[in-house]
Amino acid sequence: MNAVTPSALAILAERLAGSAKAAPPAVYDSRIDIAGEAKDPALDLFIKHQALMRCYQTRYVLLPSQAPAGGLLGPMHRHYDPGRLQALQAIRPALEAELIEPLVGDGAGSDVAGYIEAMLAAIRGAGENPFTAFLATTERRDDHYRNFLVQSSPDLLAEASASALGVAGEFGEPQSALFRILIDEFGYGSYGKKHSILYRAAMRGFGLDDEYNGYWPLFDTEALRLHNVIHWLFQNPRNLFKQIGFLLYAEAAYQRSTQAHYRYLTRFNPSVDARYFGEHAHIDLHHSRMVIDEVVTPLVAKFGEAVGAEVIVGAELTRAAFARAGDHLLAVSQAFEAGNGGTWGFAGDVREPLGRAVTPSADLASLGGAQVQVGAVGVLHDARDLAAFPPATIGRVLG
Amino acid sequence: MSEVWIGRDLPPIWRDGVEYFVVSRRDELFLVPNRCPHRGGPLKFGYVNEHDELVCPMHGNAFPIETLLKGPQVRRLQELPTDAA
Repeated sequence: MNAVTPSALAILAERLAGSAKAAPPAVYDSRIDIAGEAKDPALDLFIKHQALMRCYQTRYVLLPSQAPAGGLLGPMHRHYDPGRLQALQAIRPALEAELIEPLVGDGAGSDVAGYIEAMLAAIRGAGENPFTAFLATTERRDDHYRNFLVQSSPDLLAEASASALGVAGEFGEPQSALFRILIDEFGYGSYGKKHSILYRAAMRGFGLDDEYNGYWPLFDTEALRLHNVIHWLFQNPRNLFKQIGFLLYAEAAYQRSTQAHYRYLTRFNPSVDARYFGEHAHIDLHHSRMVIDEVVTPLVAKFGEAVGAEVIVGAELTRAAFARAGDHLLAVSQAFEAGNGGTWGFAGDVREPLGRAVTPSADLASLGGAQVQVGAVGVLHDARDLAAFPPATIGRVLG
Repeated sequence: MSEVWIGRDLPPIWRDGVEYFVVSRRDELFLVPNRCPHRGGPLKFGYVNEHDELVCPMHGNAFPIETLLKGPQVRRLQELPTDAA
């Protein structure tokens, strides 16, 4: 598989920007950044993940919350233009080969029952959630929490769209168990109970815009990597057992992490709608059992240990991706707290004008002390301060 | 052998906007709302386990038949003489 060249990305960026010239609704804004002349591998990596996110987003039906002033069909048809989709799908295999496939490890053997037992023990035995524990120690917790919500939004504002792709087909009784999980994700047919809608309510509780893709300029490399790992898993039925590994780990781990967030919000932001987290803390208990008893166990019994090994590979990929994203999110918050001072929060409109993306490894001195927006946390008064942030941090040059 | 039988293959039974299914226990017949108390799952597609509990197909929650039959919307069917019509 050929590597994705800067020129191929630049051509794609130009094409995606072209359809954005008509100021489309946020859900159809598919721009990616352009690397520019200076060599910065961290920025290149970020842009590739942006491009891969765009590849996956076009698989899903998206409508804006409000009817666009100039009508819906024009921007919608441009967004789903077959030639445009073809350009994205043409570059996708190379992006996946470079960005995702190296993350897929060899797993941890084929003893899936032993793996599940150890996994559940590790999740249960884990200490306090590091991020919510950190939040409890800082007065700027709401700013950090906004960044958490924004960085998690690429997937959660269309939650379960990826896993819905893994349910279509015909593959026996486990398919029905997966479908029942999917029904819950989509609010068992009740719009107000849909998990993405509950997530929107949490975002509004922090004064955030709740439109899908609305904050794309603030997404950093780790947020995109997690999104892309999840969505890569579900694009191809070849990954079925890795997908199930994702669900195995995610349903068990998410139950615990959402419980921590629910308790945190109840304590520090009692007026915020925390149903998204409370719902997961409850229903994922069921989902975890369903994945183990109704999906993993019968499939391994029927198809053998090799299938179990694939499930473990998927679970380990997921565990590593969640851990990396979580560690990074916390490190960004801690870096901002430890920095030379900045202004907390962010401007309301982050899409226009779109500031240039920079990373901690960029030639920051050349920016002449410009201000830089870091995620949704805050604005650094001097771009050079970004050098102290984790490598996968993305700043937006203001002004 | 359970003394309970569920009319899972019978057509939906509607009364006053509520969908019911038939539960037979010993010599009695009941109409039970086809809605799981947990998340509204279709109870009639569940099964009766060895503890005489009805297990919902959605999330596997198990409800004692005795408790279900005491629900406020449950209707006990009465046998009428065949010449009642």
